[in-house]
Parts: sequence; C-alpha cells; structure tokens
Amino acid sequence: MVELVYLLCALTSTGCALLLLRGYFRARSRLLLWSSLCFMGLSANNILLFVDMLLVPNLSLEIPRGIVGLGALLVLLFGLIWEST
Amino acid sequence: MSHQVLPGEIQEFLRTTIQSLEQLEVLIAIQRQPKKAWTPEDVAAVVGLPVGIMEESLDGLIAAGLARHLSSASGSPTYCYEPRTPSMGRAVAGLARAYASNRLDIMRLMSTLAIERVRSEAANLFADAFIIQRKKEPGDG
Repeated sequence: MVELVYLLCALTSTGCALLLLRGYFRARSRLLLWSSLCFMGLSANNILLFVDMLLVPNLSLEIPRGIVGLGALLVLLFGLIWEST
Repeated sequence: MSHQVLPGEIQEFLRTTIQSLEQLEVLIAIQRQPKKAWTPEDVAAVVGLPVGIMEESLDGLIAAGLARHLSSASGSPTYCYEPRTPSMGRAVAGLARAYASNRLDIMRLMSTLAIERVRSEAANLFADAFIIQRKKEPGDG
C-alpha cells in the first residue's frame, strides 16, 4: 500500500509538470514554466522517496531528497519574484 | 474600493460586458448616433485613438451583443450600434448618462476592474494548463 502511495505521488507530480510545460508552450507564460520546473523537482523528490524507502532501504537518501524538494520550491519562489519585478 | 455613487446595474454592466476603457469610449461614441454606419476610421476620429484599437474594440462590442457588422460595398468594415436586447439598450443609455455626469467614478471603476481581470487571467492561465482536453464547441469539426 505504501509503495502505491509513493508511486501515485510521483506520477501525479510528473503529470502536473508535463501539463504545466504543455501550458507554457501553448500560452508562453513564464509563470507556467517556473511552476513546471518546480513540479519536476517535486517529481524527482517523490521518485527519490520511492527509491529511498523501497529500493535501497539500507541507504538513507533523506538529505538528497530534502535538497531536491527545497530546490524545487526555491525555483518556484525565484520565478514568482522574478516575474513580479 | 467601493463605487457607491454609480448605480449597481451600471457597475454590473461594466463588470460583465465592457472589457476595456477603449471599448467603453467606442460604445459611448457609437450609441450617440445609433443609425450611423461607423467605420473604424470614423470612430477613431471621434474618440481620438488609433484605428487598429477601434477595430478591436468594435469587434469586442459585437461579441458582447452591443453592435453589429453592416455589409459594405467598399470592402472596409462598417459597424452600427445595436444592442441585442432592450435591457442592454437601457443599460447603455444609463451608462451614457452616468458617463456624462460622473466620468471620474466610471474611470476609477474601470481601472479597478482592469486590475481584477489581470489577476484572474493569471489564475485562469494556471487552471487552463490542467485541462486535458477541451470540450468541443458547437461548430467544431
């Protein structure tokens, strides 16, 4: 059950990233590009979670996961500030 | 910001029907002479704005049900003021009276509405990105 939840989180965030990227190519709004980049990071974060918990249980990926998640949110934050100035 | 001075129906009409200040100026200009066939150049001369913007505004008024195209032998588009329903006509008449007597409040309201539209456009853009497949419009292939 846990595996399924991790997998669904990864799939959902990947889907969001792809839809936002498609939205960017259609509307050419950079806010959508920043959001898509953020969701790509969140997707990587979820994939790392899946790998960490299920594929390599002996190795802790907590720090890399945290860095990737933080990076994803910082990208969106940077984008929001950049677009508003 | 509240606009208590303007009647509620005029505020609602501006909110739902008029998209820009140029469109408002064009509407006020053409409703003064409802029988006249207007070219964008005629409207531009009255309003004092570029012809390209006039065409865009007139097309917007057609879409809003406040004007219509007239067939023209010369090939250049002509338009006339023609509200789709009597209630729209009454709303425009009320708007024209308010525009003559209370222009500042109308300008303020239009500015507020423009800011609201920009904000909601960003949200709509975001929401639209998550639409997987649009519903087919009537008339689509």
